[in-house]
Amino acid sequence: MANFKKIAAAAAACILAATFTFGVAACKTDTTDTPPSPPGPETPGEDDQTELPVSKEDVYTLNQAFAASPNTWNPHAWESNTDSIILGYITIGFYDVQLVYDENGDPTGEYEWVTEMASAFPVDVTSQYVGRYGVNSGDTRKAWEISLNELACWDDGTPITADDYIYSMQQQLDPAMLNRRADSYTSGTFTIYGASKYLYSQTEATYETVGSQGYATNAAAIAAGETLYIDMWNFYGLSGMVDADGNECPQWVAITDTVKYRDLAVEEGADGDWVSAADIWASYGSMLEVGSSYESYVSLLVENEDVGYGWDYNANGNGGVGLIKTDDYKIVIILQDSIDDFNLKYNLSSTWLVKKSLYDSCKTTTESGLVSSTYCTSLETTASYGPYKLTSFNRDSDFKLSYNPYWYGYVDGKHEGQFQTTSLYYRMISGESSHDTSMMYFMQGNLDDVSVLSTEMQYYGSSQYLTQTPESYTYQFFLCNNKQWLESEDTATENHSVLQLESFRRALSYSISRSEYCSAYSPASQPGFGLLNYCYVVDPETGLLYRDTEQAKRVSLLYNGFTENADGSWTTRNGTKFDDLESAYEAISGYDPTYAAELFREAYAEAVQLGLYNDNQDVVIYYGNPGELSTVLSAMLEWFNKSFAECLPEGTFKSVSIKAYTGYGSEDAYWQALKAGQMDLSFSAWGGAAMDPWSIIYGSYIDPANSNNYGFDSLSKTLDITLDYNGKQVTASLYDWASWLNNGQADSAYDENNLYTILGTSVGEADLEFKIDVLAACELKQLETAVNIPIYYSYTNGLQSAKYNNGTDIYVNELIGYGGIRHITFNYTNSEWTQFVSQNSVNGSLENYYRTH
Amino acid sequence: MLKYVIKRLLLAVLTLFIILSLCFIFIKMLPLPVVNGSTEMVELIEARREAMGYYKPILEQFFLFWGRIFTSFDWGYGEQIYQMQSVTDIIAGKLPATIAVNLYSLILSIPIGLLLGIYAAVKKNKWQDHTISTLVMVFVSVPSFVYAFLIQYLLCYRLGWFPLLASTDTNYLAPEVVWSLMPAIFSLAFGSIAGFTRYTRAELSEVLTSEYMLLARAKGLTRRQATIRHALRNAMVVIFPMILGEFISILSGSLIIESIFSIPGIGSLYVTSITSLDYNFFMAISAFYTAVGLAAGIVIDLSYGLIDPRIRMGVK
Repeated sequence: MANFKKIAAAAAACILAATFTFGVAACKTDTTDTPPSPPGPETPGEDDQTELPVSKEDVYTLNQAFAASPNTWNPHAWESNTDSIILGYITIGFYDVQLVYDENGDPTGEYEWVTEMASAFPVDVTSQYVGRYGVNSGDTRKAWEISLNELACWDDGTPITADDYIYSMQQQLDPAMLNRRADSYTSGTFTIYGASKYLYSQTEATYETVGSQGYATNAAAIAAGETLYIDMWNFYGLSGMVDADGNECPQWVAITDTVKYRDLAVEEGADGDWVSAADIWASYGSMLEVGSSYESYVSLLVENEDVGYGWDYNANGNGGVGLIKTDDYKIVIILQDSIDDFNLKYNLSSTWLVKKSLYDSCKTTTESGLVSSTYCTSLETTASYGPYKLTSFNRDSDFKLSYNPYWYGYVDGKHEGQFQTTSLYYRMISGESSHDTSMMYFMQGNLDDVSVLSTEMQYYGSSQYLTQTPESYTYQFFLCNNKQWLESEDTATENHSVLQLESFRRALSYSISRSEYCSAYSPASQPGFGLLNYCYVVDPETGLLYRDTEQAKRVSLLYNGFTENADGSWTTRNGTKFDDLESAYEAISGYDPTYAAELFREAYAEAVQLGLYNDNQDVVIYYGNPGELSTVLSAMLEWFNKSFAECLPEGTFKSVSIKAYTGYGSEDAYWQALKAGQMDLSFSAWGGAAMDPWSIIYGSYIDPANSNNYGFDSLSKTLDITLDYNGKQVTASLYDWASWLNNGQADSAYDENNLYTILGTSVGEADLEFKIDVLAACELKQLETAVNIPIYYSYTNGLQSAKYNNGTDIYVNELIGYGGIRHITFNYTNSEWTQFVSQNSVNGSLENYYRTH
Repeated sequence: MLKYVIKRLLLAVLTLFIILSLCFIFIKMLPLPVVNGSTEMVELIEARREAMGYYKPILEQFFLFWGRIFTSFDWGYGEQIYQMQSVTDIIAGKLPATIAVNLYSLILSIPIGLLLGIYAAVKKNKWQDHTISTLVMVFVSVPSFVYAFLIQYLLCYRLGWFPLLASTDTNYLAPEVVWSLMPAIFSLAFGSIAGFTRYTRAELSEVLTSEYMLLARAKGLTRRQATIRHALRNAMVVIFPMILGEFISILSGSLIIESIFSIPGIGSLYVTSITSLDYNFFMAISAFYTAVGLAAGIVIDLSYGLIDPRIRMGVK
């Protein structure tokens, strides 16, 4: 008994003591991530202060919140926006933008490019590389010489030279690492010559879509002797399934393969319980045609001809990446395609630099042989060469950045009055209640920015500290026109099929009063009539917005049923006349209940004639949502339903309504459904890349891999656009025009109608007016499909603390916003701010202050 | 007895192996997360997955996994979350916060819960008992995050007694850190206190009416002496295992509380690892919780004998 008692007591004590001791021990050993004190005066690097080139008192701290902890701010592998927060402070590009001020020191609302990690703007040296690196005689704007800033150094004073840039790019494109951000240099407008070949030089073969290999149909590929492979995992859900011998089903299986795999989704003994690639092809092959929503599920196995491709250039074509060191402080970048000035500087507004000694020490090799680096994942593995350095990092908790005493900008005399902020403190606030917590934290004076919800606008709508910031996102309906899917959803009492009718989709569009919607659910936002909103800049030199161009306004007018008259005046559908384009444009509302009713009648007649609808059915549009509906979202859907009901005429459809479907089970399943076009309606937004409007139509609405439209786009290859190019009428599909705008035609062998060849120019070299014409034509064509119905252009509301000012009160554009950290100035030091809060708060809260000021 | 303990430990290890093997096979059977991004990005990710061995047969991956564990106790690197960072480092870094909050909560809950339970049992069917029982029902029924919101708003924001968010200092023994954790501790403790009170009251009420209690009083013990020496000790046979069980349950149940007070604990990591399909994190955390559960089971069984000498284990 004594033994038993001892053992039991010891065991009980051990389990509690061990857990506690482990906890305490673990936290005590975590000395490297020492957290900062709550924001307040302190001097970074205090111990070696006397040796530092710059020393200043840390009196201006900007306090911010974040929702998800940064995981890696490695420039080669970062993923999320949160990851890029730290990266944005500890690095700086070759070139950057700053606000322009007039002689009185007031911002003019414009910006200018300045050199940072470079000492001069890039010089076109293409002619020096003719015959090498893919440069042909007569080419221009492909090879660029960049003189490096000789004052630049790491945060320990180690100088940065051309060797660092070469080493860093070799790591970025290392075929053994396959870094996520390598695609920044292997695709798009800033594709470095040979980068892609080098990156995949250890990859034996890849699966490519049939269309991308120059075949117009699957049958054509088969006729040419090609073997087609079907994606058994993603198309048919056979991941993890096995054959009779226990062999696992591979992802890609030849369509002629008759090996059967047990499909666990089907009951044993039922039809289809064992299925082969040949069976799937026989049943669904017609759905998987080139150009269809499902084309990505069928591929050709393309042998990689560039296995072993080297870094150094050789005349055999089996080596050469377009990044060359010409002296210790000069590099030359050779791009695959010509690039315009803006895009060159824009792409060089960040660098790929990593610190060699640290990067190498952070490398790890997984058991499968893939090499990765833990560089920039913690305080110890981070090196800085920007204005700030990371001084503390507690994962999933907080981090602090303090000024980098070795940054050249503090001593070079070119940054006077800039970067006044001495430190930045970021605190994690996450979870369901994060907004409420952030608001309380802000009101206690601990945060310097907080978002304001529409329900809070009644309190802070007139505050001088309220900021209304446009976003590049256009919220819109993404409507399904996938015939098979819609018809498969129909029941005796529910109809989904009518959604495939363009007239029906347009009726929905004209039923919605966008201005009423904005007032009710997004007060700061603007009604949207186009796919691109007022953030998109077509001419970065002048700041010209796409939406302000004549072509874009014309698109909005035509889409909304206006007719242009010979004298330049415009007439609405009901006959109202406007003298010119501007006055007509101002009158667009997008809401026309009479026309909506007419379209509903037209859709009804068409549906009945085609046998798509019977009078016992309610028209139901399932709105796909990955999670449970919020109260606001439910109210929004009700609002839309009310709008449809008001416009739906008697004697047509029994009813038209949106119903939420939330039963996807996981976010992944939701995305799968979206990608496959198996969703009636998605109400979401697409935006980003506001300085590069050219890639938006292709990237967001057409490219099957990167598109909100996903399975919803089945038309772009069948719709033709004819445009005048230097007096010549050029006709090509919407897909091809959008692809050309995306700079994709130079590589594309999709069809013979290669616009790069026909036009003789890439988008980078083309005339601006012509590019705007193409963009506008693509936008109009896409809008006319009525697959995308724009609802509003998104704006966000926020409160900014009284502690600091932005460089300008007027939002300039996405590139520079309000001026950013470079131009922030402070009204109070940290200690003065503490006093301010105590003097102006009521019970420790600044709520009253911000409501009344 | 030693033989019994060894046998239980070996069985626990075997159970752990079986559970983890099943977990491994099941999660590997799930399809990989959808890659969203440009065509080039999708190609790159696919190539990475291929290179990382994602497309090897599950059996091969299974043996590689156990090989790593047995030879070097290596749980691998983050693949979908905390990319290429050591799984054990990340978990070890986040565990102290969770353990501290839960342990403090338990330290607060046990004495209060037991005392209230004893008081309610002694005052059974009087107004004190009814009041305590009503409050117990309220606190058992309402989820802890509701208290968390109330505490954060009232005590932290309106009254300013506590900081709105937990301290980021990792010295969980420092008074100011403990003070900053108090709102979270209270939020977790209310439910536990109610649970302990309810069980203690129920068990003690039953014991207090037993015949040996009458005998104890008859032989001259005071009510207090009889309650503490005889009644409480017998009631603890049921209550003590509950305390250990409670510790395990709150260890895994503090997800929302950690999030509300920005405590960098392990709570959300398990869910994130599942939703992100990060195999290595999922396996490591599953192993942790399973091991804690199995160890606690053994300790609970052993504790019966410690508390009640009449109980013998492993003796035929």
